[in-house]
Amino acid sequence: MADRKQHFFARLIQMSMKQSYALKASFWMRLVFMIVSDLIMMIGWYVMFESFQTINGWNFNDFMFMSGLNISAFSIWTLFFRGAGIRMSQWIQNGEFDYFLLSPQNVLFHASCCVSEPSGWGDFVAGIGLMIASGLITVSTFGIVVILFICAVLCFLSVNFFLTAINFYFKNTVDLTERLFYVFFSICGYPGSIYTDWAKILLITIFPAGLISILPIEVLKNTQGFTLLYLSGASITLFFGSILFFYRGLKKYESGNRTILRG
Amino acid sequence: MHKYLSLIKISFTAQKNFIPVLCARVFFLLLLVCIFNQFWHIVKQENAVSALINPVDFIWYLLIGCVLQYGRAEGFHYRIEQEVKSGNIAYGLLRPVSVIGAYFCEAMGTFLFRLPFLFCVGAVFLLILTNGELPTDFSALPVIFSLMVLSAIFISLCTVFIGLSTLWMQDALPMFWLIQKAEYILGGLFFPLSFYPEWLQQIAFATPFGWINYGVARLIYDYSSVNAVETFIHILFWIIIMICVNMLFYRLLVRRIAIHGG
Repeated sequence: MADRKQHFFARLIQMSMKQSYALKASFWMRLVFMIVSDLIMMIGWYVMFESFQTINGWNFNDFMFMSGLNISAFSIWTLFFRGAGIRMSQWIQNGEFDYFLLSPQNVLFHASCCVSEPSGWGDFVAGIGLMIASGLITVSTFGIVVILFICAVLCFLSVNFFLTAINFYFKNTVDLTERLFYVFFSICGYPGSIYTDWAKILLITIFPAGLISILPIEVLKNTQGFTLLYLSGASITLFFGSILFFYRGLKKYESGNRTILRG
Repeated sequence: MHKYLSLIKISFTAQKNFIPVLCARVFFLLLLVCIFNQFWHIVKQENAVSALINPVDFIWYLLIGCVLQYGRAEGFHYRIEQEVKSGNIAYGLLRPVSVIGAYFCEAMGTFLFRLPFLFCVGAVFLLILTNGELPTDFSALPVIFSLMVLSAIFISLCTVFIGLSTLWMQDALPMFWLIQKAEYILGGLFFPLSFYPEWLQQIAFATPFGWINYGVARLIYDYSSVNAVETFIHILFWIIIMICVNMLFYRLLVRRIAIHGG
């Protein structure tokens, strides 16, 4: 049974990838332009770090690693779980979620995995490239980096699940939840060292952007076991918490009367 | 001309229905201002070049650039892309106004509504954040605001250009990303171009982005009539270039639609 389910999700992801590859020129263009645009952004920060050397203890390599982690974790969401977020929010608000409810598969993952965004490959390549270029990945830190990457992916997924679920509880919140996600993503894009005092506390607890932008570098630079433990625990709690929040919200879902056909 | 002014007016008036969307943009703008306020204070504290840095000037600089970013019509290129892909753009050719002109007017109407709103809210917030401390050339604000309107014209033309690029690229998004990131970096959105190495400054000033953003925003701390006139002439030059490019696109569009049968 579990095997069949895994097979279904593997096929679902494969199908959504094929769908995104249907327009070949567009696929390759998005991929290449995404890499270029990610690298262009790095030039700006490189110039800044050249002028000031460090920003509150962070150098350019630290920033490169943080950006790489951020971008590559984001790419996992865009490649495999793009349904979570704006798409699912729209389905919920328009009462078009019935299709997934009637399917015998896991509702949340079925709806999340059925959309893929080709630009994610560009982000993935650029993200991994930046992490490697930062020089912070060595044989001794490789294991930790893998854990950090998994935590970052879990954070992105959790925030998306959580924001999507808000649409079950309130009406007309599609735009708001989309913007909140981009606020989260933007905060993750600046050097974590600029967030100090209360801002730092806020970002590693209530608004967990700091789990991607602040703590990973602290773990890598200072090899802090406790921080890694907190980061892993917080990411896992957040992930399962967001799934719980989603299914609680699902009980409030109101079906629409539109006839929807989905391939 | 009257028709186009009416289109701008309609788009301007329609924006009154989207105040909640605008408030979300204001929130995002203020958040960014807070982040960079923190950033410049930290940089000033720990760097030897701190004498050159006045956080208040740079936060106002950022506000001007961000107002130009968040003031524009969001997803406008996507709408044009959909019309090009679906072929609906062909219906626009039958109307007594140019399709490109209509798109431009709609984008401009949105911009003209949002620009003063975002700027005023941002300015009040900054005054509170900085305990009423004013930037070096605060008195240049009227000139800066006029130049921001000029920049808005260029940006609106650019948005139409991005949307129409769908005709050749199947997709407007890659062009949008490229121009957006070029604006961030070559326009010096987050960091003034004066921090850039000489070669990158030269590249930035050879593009429109260096003028529409940095050229305008720097006047808040480095105002002189020479700088203002120089920026004005350059933005005007790039507006003319962009109008020519869009007109060329329009001709190609008509020809392409005629070939494919509309």
